[in-house]
Amino acid sequence: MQELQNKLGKTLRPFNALGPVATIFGAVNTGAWRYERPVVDAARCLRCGVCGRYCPVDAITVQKSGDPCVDIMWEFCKGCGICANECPQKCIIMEEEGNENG
Amino acid sequence: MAEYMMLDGNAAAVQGMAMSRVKVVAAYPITPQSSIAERLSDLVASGELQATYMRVESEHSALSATLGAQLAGVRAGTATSSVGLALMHEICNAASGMRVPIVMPVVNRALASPWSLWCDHQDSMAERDSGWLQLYCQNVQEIYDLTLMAYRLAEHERVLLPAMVCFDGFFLSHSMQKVAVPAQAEVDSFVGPYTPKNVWLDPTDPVFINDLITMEEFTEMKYQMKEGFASAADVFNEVSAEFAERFGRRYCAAEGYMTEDAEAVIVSLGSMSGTVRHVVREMRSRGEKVGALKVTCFRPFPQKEVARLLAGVGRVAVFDRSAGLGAAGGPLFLEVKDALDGKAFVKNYIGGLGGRDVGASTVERVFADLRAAREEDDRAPVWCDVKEHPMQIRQVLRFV
Ligand code: SF4
Ligand code: SF4
Repeated sequence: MQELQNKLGKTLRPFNALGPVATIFGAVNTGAWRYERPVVDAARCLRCGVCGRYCPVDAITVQKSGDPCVDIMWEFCKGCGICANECPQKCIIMEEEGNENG
Repeated sequence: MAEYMMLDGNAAAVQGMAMSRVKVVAAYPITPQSSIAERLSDLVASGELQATYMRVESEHSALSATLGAQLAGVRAGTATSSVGLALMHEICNAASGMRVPIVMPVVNRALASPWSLWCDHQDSMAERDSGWLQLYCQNVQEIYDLTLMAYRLAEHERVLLPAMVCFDGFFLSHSMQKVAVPAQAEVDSFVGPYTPKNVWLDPTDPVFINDLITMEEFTEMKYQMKEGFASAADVFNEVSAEFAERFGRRYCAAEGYMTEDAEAVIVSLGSMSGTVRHVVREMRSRGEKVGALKVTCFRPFPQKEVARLLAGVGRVAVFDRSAGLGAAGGPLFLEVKDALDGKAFVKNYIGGLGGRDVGASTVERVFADLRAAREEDDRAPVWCDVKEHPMQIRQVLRFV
């Protein structure tokens, strides 16, 4: 809050806004919806970034170097499988949730 | 100092928008509005108007882009007509609900079908409950003046509602008239710079505008809009008083003409109001006690002023330029009848549809019919100037 105040050089003052407006973003934990999870075969991944561009919840960060090549935020990955569909290498497979050790 | 310019109605609307310094224009051409979109783009291209012109693929996008631009903190402009306005319907409600005070010229044209390019008020009347202020212009000077006033009214912190400046397609949009145009500095000092007063978008201070509202708060947000309309009535008078002081022309939400001792009055909207006045003047010279009442501000409807101006008038004809299908009468009639609350004999006349002219002879016939009407007669609206056999105007040969 203080940081924002300094950045804007203005004082935050409450006022009664009219109509539908919100300043608190109630993020929905879409990860809870997941039945299947994307699993990346790092050996074949080109780090091209296509999966990240298509992910509808922007849960994917494709790292230029280092591990993992495809970093997925599991709180938000809803298991839709779009990344697996779009990957030009077909190196993402969808595995049933809770099965990752089996 | 004001200078005089020869402008048609569309050019006057552009003059008003440009001198109010719109910074973004997103318009889609439609007859009879097209020359507004064209002229604004010319002004942007030549640099006379410092604005961004966004080419859009429909009126839905035009108003959406205008709404987004204005939320980012500038005056944004668009204009439309007829089916274009119908296509904006969703965003009209979005803009008013988000309390974004866009000012939009609406060049009145009939809504299809039957397909028509010409004037009536069905398009803007279909939007009368969309939460927009609606002003109706009688002549080209009024288009320019009411556009400037609309910015002040819409943007007022107690109002914060978008405004349609409605004027009759072709009768005004394409009619060249002499218009007094004040100097840019005078307009600047009247309209003022745009300051977002309620919600706006700023990447450094993010908010989420138009989120899902449950039954927990929806009613209250509509209540806030109702309060905006209630304030708009007073603010209209304040703004018009200031306008009169600065520019010498006074506007009333409802304006009477020779109504004081009148026995019969015609109530009207838009360009036909001038014709009604002309007929009233002629009939007065023959000793007939008639008057005219022009409604300039249809939303909010000036109920008290209408009741006051018509107090003591025995017979009132309300002329609607939209059909009011399935209702007890046209939209203007319903408002006037309610304002008078049984205090006068009120009759509805429907006419001037799809571009049919409402000339002096039509107005005279309305006065004659109003005078001859009896209390016990059928109260259904009278359709003016209808052909003798309206149910048999197209005979076609088909294999049946
Ligand atoms: S789309 Fe496939 S190859 Fe490209 S970064 Fe994502 S997982 Fe790797
Ligand atoms: S499965 Fe869907 S939500 Fe999860 S990372 Fe892939 S595209 Fe994103």
